[in-house]
Amino acid sequence: MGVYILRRLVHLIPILLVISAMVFVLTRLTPGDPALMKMGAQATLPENREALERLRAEMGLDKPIVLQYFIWLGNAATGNLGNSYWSGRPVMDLILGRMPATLQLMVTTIILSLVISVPISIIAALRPGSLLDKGLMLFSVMGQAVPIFWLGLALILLFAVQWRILPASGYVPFAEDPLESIRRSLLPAIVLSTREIAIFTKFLRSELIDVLNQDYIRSATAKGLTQTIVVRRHAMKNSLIPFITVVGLEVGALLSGVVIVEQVFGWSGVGWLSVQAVLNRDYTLVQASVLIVCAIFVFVNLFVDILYFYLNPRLRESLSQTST
Amino acid sequence: MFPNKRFIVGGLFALVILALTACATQVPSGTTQIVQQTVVVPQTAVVRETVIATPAPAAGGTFRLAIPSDITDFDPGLTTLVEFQTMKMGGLWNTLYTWDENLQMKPDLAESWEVVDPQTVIFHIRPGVKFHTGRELTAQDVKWTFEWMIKEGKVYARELGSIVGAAEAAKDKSLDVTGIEVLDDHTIQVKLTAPNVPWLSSIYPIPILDKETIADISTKPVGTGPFKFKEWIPNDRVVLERFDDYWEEGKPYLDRVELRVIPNQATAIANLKAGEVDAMLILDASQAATFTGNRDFQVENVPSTDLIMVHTVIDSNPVLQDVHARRALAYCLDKDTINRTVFFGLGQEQWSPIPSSFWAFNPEIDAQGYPFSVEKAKEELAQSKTPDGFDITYTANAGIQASQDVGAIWKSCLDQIGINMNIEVLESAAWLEKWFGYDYQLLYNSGPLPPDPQRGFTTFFTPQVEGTPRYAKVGWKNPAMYELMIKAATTVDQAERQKYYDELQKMTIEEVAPIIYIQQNPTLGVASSKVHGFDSFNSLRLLDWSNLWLDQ
Repeated sequence: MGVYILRRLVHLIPILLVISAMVFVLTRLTPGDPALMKMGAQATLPENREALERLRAEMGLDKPIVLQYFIWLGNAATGNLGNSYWSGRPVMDLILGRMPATLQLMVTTIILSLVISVPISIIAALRPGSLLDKGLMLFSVMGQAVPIFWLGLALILLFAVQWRILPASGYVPFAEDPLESIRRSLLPAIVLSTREIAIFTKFLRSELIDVLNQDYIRSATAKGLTQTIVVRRHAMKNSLIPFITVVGLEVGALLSGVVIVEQVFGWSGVGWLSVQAVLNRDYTLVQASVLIVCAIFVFVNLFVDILYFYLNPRLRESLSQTST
Repeated sequence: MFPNKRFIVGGLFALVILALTACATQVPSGTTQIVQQTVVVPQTAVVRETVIATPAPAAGGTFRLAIPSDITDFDPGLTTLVEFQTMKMGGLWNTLYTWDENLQMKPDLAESWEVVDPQTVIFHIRPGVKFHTGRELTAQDVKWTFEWMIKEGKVYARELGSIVGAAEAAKDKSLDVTGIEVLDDHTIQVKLTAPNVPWLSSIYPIPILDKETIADISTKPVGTGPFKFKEWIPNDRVVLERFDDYWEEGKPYLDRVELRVIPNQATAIANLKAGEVDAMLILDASQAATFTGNRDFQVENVPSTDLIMVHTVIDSNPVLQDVHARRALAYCLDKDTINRTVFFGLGQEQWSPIPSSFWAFNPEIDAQGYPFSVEKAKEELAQSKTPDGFDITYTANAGIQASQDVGAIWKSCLDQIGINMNIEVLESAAWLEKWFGYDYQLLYNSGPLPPDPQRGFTTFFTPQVEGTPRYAKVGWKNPAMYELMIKAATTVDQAERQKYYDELQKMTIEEVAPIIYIQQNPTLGVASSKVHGFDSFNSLRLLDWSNLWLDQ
């Protein structure tokens, strides 16, 4: 197992290298100039042309793009991802400072999505074709179709403006005030989890229906086991294996949803930071945030694969045979 | 035949969602007592309707203002961003003078000033003003601040660069700026290199700083303003608290000010309606309508100095070198439709660079513009060198919906006369690159002007220095106009200056180049009706912070 994890971690290096090169080229091909963005209206004045060129040179933008990339790569190899063009602060500090907010939102969303989607998938799978099943499936389709920003604003109008039971926006660190922190994360987490619940329910329901029609389930039922035991011990265990893969992959989709939700709810996380970085053409910050988000995605999938081994005895078996 | 069950379930679900959303748009009427109500009117004038007499100010409370983006650095010499100006002008720092709600100069740190001649100004500094550290402010601090801005190349170095000795001190930091002379502890004289009457109006945003704490200014700013810095939670809020030793007796009324970062305007409005913030100083015209008839809020629509315009590049475009082609474009601008549909009737048409709220604005001259007429547009085109029409590209900013809407309305007329307009919509950074690189044919832009008629001309109509990109690309050369601008800038007598500005207004309208003016951009602010003193809001988005108070 250790060898497998190590091998996967080694694979991470070329993945990150390719991503870094792609992001590097894409940011520089995008129209816009970080020096102009930073100087603002002052840059239009003829007397400031020299200052603009100086700023470009300070940012290293006067060098050929290949050279810029290798300078950046050399620094990155030593753990220095550079300073933000916009604020001048180290990008790692900026990203790590925002990471707890984003992680809190993501973890709340995943927990909320699982707590809701697993029971309703089971209920729907046990009565396929029923009115309840159809209602849940309608919710699933709508959950995937509703735009996140619209849902966010609609929920703010309902819960914050109309009923005044939840705050409209803002992030409070968990360590500072746990109760307020949870209250503030509820609305954004509900918005993000709507899509996830829809996807999880649709997938887990069809997996369960498939497994519940297998011979061994019929044998278990014939043996006289109760429906709860059949579902919990036999059906769920087998449905969970592909389901966990979907959950892992959805973390990637969640990362993109976070970008929108953080803007709508004024949630000071990595998503909001990244949007500002793109708008300001803060190249170093864009590169670092994309790299870190990609690394998170890769690690989550590695974790899912490891979990896969524990849940699937056949894979465990094959791994132990390979090892011997 | 009964409809399918699935449709019934789906239909009911959709109805529930619609009903819930519709309920949410009805703002509940609050219990706050309305003392003063401001009514939005479809002109730039402010009409305030007093319902009940204004009570005496109540002390205490926290004023929470929504701001669209965070502060990255508290150094006021780094940015001219609106949200930073807002904080700087009333909260943390004072300036020598400020502007009231009618854009009249109002003493601040300088009790008074004298324009001795077109190149000399003397400021009389208010005694008894203290920095938040307790140290008393003197004329030496004003000198130090100006020199620091010049030597460090801060954003105001350009305005201060007109002072005698500024250019030398910028190059050799060991030199003093000889044009700034401290006459006594509370009197300072500034001498300019050349006669420049409008200079005084250009220095209004410069805050006076504390040299002893300058090293920490990026994170712990110290000023003389009614509120002192307490804490900054990045991307969440900036907290200021009452400065007890403020020079104005009994002020400020508020205990605390919080600037809350809310990037999305719709979310900020929801926060305002939910009572989580008290005011916003930036509001789109389209959003102002959501407050119409709601007595829990006051919307300020003030005379705007922010002009919406379309830039043209003349030299590289032979078609636009022809004044008849430019006039054909101007006649096709349906300004009434633009104001009604894009700006909800909240703006006012303009044909010249002097906003109607400035003393030098001459309405009779501005009315000599180009009223919308397809026929006249055709006539002008027929007289041009391209009577069969031409292709032209209009560059809009994706971040400003109005820029795209204006293009679409314009295009619908141009199509009728044979001018083929291609509307190019660029994301803000790409748009900025085109604008700074003069790489456009027609480009939508807008921006506030300092309250002096000169700036509208000097910014865009000055013949540029030979060899610079603007000279080469915009190619605007009108020596007669430049001469008038020099005369206007060097004349102290206002009646005489008025004559020059009348002439300049006339010339910009006749030439319709290098800028075609469209209208004033509505400057709107909104606050809860429990906020008092919000009527000090002006088109520079300045508030008189020391005068704000809340219903307790």
